[in-house]
Amino acid sequence: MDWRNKVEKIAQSTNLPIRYLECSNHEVDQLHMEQEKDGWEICNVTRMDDRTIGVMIQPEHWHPSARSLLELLFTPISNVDPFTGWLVQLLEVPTTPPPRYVREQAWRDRRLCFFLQRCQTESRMDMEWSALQPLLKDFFPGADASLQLVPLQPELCLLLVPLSYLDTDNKLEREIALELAFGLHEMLSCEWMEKFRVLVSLPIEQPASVGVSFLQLHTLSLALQRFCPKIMVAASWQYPLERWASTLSPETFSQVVDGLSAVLPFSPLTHEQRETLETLFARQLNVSEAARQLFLHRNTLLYRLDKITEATGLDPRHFPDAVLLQLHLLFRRN
Amino acid sequence: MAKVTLNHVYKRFANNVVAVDDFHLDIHDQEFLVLVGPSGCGKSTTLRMIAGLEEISEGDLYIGDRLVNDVAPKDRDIAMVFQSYALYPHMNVYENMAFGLKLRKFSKAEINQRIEEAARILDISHLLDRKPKALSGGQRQRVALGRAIVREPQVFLMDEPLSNLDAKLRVQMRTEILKLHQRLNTTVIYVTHDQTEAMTMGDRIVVMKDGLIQQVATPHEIYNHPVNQFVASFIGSPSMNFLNGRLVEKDGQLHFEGEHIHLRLPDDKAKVLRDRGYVNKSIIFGIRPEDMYSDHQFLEANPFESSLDAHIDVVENMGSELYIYFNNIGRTQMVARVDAREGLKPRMSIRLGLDLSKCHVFDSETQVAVF
Repeated sequence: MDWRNKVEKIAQSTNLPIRYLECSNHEVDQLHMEQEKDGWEICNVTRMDDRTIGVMIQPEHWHPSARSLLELLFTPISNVDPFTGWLVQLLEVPTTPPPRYVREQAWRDRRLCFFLQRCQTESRMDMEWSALQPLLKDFFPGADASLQLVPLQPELCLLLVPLSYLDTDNKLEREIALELAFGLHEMLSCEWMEKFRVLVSLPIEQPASVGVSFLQLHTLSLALQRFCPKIMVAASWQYPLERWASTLSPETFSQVVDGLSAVLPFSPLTHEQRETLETLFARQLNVSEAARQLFLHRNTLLYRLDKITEATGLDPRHFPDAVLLQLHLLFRRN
Repeated sequence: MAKVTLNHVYKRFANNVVAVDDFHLDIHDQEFLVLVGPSGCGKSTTLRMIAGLEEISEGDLYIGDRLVNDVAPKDRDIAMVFQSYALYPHMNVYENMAFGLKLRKFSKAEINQRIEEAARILDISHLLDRKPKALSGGQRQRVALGRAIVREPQVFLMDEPLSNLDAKLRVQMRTEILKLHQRLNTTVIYVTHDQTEAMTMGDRIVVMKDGLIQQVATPHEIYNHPVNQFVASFIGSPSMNFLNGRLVEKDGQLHFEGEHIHLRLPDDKAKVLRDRGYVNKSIIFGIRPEDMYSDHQFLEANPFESSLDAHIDVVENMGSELYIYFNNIGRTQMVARVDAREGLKPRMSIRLGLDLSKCHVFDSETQVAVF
């Protein structure tokens, strides 16, 4: 029996306020707000392609046990649960989280949101994300029940991990989040033996914030794929320039490239020069740190930087010049 | 422990780029095989195909007697150590090493026994309670190796595992890995771009370039009998010297004539070149830096047209020996490794004797070695 018939039968037999809802996906929020003003609430919702189907009730007329029965009666028509549908929908239009999810999932503690993206482009794409669940539960022991794996696409899923059970040990949350992302990436590489990109956001307070984190991580993922394809682990607060550049339209991007070519007319940098600059920028222009990272003597790095200055007219140790060089690295290689 | 067989394996990417071209090799049981070559030569792609991280476009891959082309990586009974390893930050060293075993449902006793053994081999028994943040770089690398060791896989795959370490630690860990291999007697396939690592670690070395195997041989064979100019130049530090020139007959002797250099080739080498039809043809002459001598004893013992006059540009003092660089011969920079006691300085002119019994000749068109 479909949801429309069920709603009609329930309305006839109980005489309680219940309505069937069907609209396009992008209309659902507007409709929801309008109905909410009149005391209606969406109690179940599901998506079928571009249509949203739901059941609305006036909650004050419904006994909690009757509401529970409603939720059992209206199981999602497709396999996509409302939360997943909401996140997928977010990539197209801004939408609010499904009320039921927010209501039921009130967290007692904050969670880290990991964005797992499979990079295997060939025949192994048919893996079910659920197969990963036992491995993740072992990796985050103690987080069993509250560990949430949210498959979004065949190559993409979110993982929500409660922060409370981790031994934070007074460390900065950013540090913890990034270390865990590296560990998770290593574990998936060594034990699942598949190439994943693992991105992480700062801890989030409530289920409704998952959407914001998801969008941040999605933007970061697009930026990395385009500008730093070899980076497999990153956090939402990193790579701000790349994130910005990835949002530019092709026309704007090409205008920036042309503009940069006019002010930076030097020939392309060598691989070694690019590596030197990237390391220096990653180390906040700290020459000693960059030299350590590159396993070079500090004087060797200074010599290399002098040669870059000679070739480009820009001194990477000076912030304004470093900005131009970083823009050059970002835009010229694309 | 197992042999690994790659049977005419190819890797083609969607844009028709052939990353690995007809890789055909038997890797013996318990062998330490090193894949070496410059960036983009296909060595890591080959390793990733063995691991199952890349699909094989064509050809067969066997681990032991089992065809594993369609076997999931986690079911291939291999362990991989990556270049950028990370430890699990919320677990201590013991838990890091136990993780893979717990997944595979090993008993606690078995897990304990394997970890104790691996920790003893790696000398990290005293660190088992520590969290990764309390470990040094070298200790972390040992734990990463330990995580792979406890699995006791049929094959270890290592993808530049030492390249994130500083030079001193890299040398130390190189020895550790070799000791480990001797104790575990497991097949190891090791990828590096560092020819020193390849020479010091491999039972056999596979030199690759542009997706193709150039040569598979022992380090000794590769160093002394490179099959082409690429292998000759890639293996050895400083690199072999090359000079372009012609072979000419004079007074019944075969001579190499190049710019500012004239050498009379030994009879055995001359015979091979005559037999192969290289007389009056262009060739590439190769000589390793250590096969040039500045001492009088050598020059006196080899008086017959086997020397050159070098005007020294740069001297690198390595302590026990000097690397002297000069470019007045054949429009190319040459380097010789000589005894530090010679006391040579830049801008000096010296006579260098060449040990022509160790010279190499390459076809100037194909760059293939004649000897």
